[in-house]
Amino acid sequence: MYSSSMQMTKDLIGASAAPLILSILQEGESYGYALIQRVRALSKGQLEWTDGMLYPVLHRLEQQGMIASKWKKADSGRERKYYVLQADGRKSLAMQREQWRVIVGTLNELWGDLACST
Amino acid sequence: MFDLERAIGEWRASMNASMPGQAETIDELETHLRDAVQQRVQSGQLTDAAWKASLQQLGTPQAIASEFGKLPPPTLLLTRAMQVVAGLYIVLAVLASFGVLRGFVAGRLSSLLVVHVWSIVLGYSAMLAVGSVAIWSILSRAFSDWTPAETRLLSRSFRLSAITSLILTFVGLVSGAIWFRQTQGTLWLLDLREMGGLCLLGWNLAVLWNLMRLRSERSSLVMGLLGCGLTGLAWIGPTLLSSVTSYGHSTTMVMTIVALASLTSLAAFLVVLALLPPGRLRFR
Repeated sequence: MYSSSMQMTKDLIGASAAPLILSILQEGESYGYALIQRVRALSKGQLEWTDGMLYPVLHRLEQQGMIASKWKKADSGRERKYYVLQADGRKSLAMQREQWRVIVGTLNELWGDLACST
Repeated sequence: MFDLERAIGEWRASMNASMPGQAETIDELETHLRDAVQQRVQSGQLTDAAWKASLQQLGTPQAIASEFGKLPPPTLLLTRAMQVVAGLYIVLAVLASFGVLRGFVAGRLSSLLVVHVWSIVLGYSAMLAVGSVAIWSILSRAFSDWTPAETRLLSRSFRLSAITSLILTFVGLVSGAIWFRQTQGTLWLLDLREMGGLCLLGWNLAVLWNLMRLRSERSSLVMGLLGCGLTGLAWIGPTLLSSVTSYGHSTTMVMTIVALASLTSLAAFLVVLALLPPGRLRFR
C-alpha cells in the first residue's frame, strides 16, 4: 500500500495499514486524502502511500464495522466521504496497539542486544 | 490546452470499465484526485503535470480494481431479500388499509374494529417477517458464516420487525379490549384469538429482550422462527381448531394434522440448523 524509499515488505505494509488508519481516525473524522497526508507528515515522508490502495482498506474496515462513512459537504463546497471510528474499531485498535507494543518491544530487546555485541 | 474536466471524464470512463457498478467508490476516488491536483497546483505545479503526478500516485484502474476485488462480497443479495420482505409488507399494509376502510365505509366495521383489525393484521405480519428473516438467516448461515455487515443488516431487520410487531399487536389488543367492553360489557373474554394475541405480545417482548440484552445470535434465530409458528397458531389456530372439532370434518382434520406435522418437522430441522456451527452445509 505504500511505496517507500526504505522498500518495506508488502506484508509489513499490509499489517500496519489498519492500525494506522484507526489511530488517525481516533483523533477525529477524516477522509482518504487527509489520511494519506497525515501518514506522510507523521512518518516525515518515509511512508508514501500508493493512494488508490488506501480505499480498499477503508472499505474493508467499514464492512467489518470498525469505521463508518458519511458523505458531507466540505468547506470547499465539494462533497467528500468522511470516515469515523466506531466502537468496534476502538476495541480493535486497543487490541492491535497491545500486539504492536509486544512486537516492537521484543524486537527492541533483540536488536538492543545485537547493537551491544557488535 | 489541458482540460482537467475532460481528463477526469476519461479517467472515470476507464474506472467504470474496470469497476462496473461502483459509481460511489469512483466518486470517492475522483474527490481524492481533485484534492491531490489542487494541492499540487497550489504548490506551484502546472495543472497537467499535477494531474499526471496525482494519477500516477493513485495507481492504475486495473490495480485499484484488483485490490477492491479482494474485499468480501457485498451484502447485495441479503439487502435485496430484505427489500423484498419490506416491499411485501408495504403491499400488505396498503391492502389491509383498503380492506378495513371499505368495511368502515360500508358500515360493517366500527372505528375501533378498523384499528383492531388493521393493527392485528400488520402486527402479526411483522412477526411473520421476523420469522422469514430468521429462516433466511438460518439457511444462509448454514452455508457460510455472515460477514459483520450482514450480521448488522440482519440484526437491524430483525429488531425493526420485532418492534413493529410489538407496537401493532399491543394497539390491536387494546383496541379489541375496548371494543369488547363496548359490545360485551367486559374488557376481556377467554377468546382463543385474544389469548393468542396476548401470547404473541409476550413472545415479542421476549424476542426484543433477547436481542437487546443477551445479544445471542442463535437464540434470536430460534425465537424468531418459533414466533413465526406462534403467529400462525394465533392467527389461524382458532379457526382450524373449530373446524377440526366440528362433527363430520375428518378430511379437514387429517389434512390439518399432516400440515401441522410437516411444519413442525420443518421448524425442528431449522432449529437444529440454527444451533449448528456456521457453514456446516457448505460444499467442500
